[in-house]
Amino acid sequence: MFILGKLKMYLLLALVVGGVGFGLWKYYEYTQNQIRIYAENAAKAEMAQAETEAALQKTLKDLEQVQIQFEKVSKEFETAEKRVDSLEKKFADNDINYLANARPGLVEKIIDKASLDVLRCFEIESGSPLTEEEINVTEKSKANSICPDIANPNYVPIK
Amino acid sequence: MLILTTFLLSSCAQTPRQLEYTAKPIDRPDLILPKTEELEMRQVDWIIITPENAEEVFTSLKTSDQPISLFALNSDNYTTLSMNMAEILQLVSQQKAVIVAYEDYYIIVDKQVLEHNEELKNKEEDSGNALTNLFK
Repeated sequence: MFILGKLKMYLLLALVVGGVGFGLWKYYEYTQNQIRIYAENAAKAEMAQAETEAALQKTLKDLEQVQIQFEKVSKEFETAEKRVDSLEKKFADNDINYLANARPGLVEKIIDKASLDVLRCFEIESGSPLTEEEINVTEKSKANSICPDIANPNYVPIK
Repeated sequence: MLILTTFLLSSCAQTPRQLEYTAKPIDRPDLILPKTEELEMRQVDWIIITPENAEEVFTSLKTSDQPISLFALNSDNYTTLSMNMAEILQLVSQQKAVIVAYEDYYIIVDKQVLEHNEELKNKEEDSGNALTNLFK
C-alpha cells in the first residue's frame, strides 16, 4: 500500500516535471519563433526602407532631368521668340513702303535675300545639314538674316 | 496482404512539385516612326512696282512671252505675310525643341530606370544573403 502510494507520487511528480518541461520547451520554441519573425521583419523593414530611399533618389533624379529639359526648351523658345521680335523691330524701324518707293531695286534684293533666308531656316529645322559656308560665316553681311542662331553657329551678333 | 497493399499504394504517392512563379516586366518595344522629310524649298522672286518703275517692269515682263499677271501685296500685307512666316518658323522651332526634349528625357530616364533596377536587384540579393546568413 505504502509502495503503491509512493509510486503514485513519483508518477505524479514525473507528470508535473514532464508537464513543466514540455511547457518550457514550448515556451522556448515560441520565443525562438518570435525572435525569428522579429529578425525577419527587421530585415524586411530595412530592405523596404532602402527601396523607398532608392525610389526617392530616382524620383529626384527624374525631377532634375525635368528641370534641365524645361530650362533647355524654355531657352530655345526664347530664341525662337526673339527672331520674331527682331523681324517686328526691323519692320517698325524701317518704313518699307517709303524705302521701296525710293529704292525699289535695292529693297527687291533685300526682300529676296530675306525670303531665301527664311526658306533656308525651314530647311534647317526640317533636318537639312548646314553647309560649310554657313558654318564658317562670322560676318553679319553673310549671315542668315532670319535665323542666324541655327544657320550660322560661328556668327556672334553684336548687341 | 493489407500491409503489402498499403506499401504498394504508398509507393505511388509522391510529394507534389512546388511551383515557383516570378513576375517579370516585359521590355517596352522601341517606337519606330517614319522619318520626316527634309524640306527643299523653292525660291521666290519678288518684284517691287512703284508708279515710277511700273512701265519699266511691265515692259521687262512682256519679254518673257507669257501672259502677265501679278499677285500683288502692298507693304502692310507684305509685312503681315513676313510676320506670319516668322511665327510659323517660331512654332516649328518650338515643336522641334519639345520633340528633342522628350527624346532626351526618355532616353536618359530609361537609362536611369535600368540602373536603378540593377541597383535594387543587387540590394535584394545582398539582403537575401544576409537573411540566409542570419539563420545559419
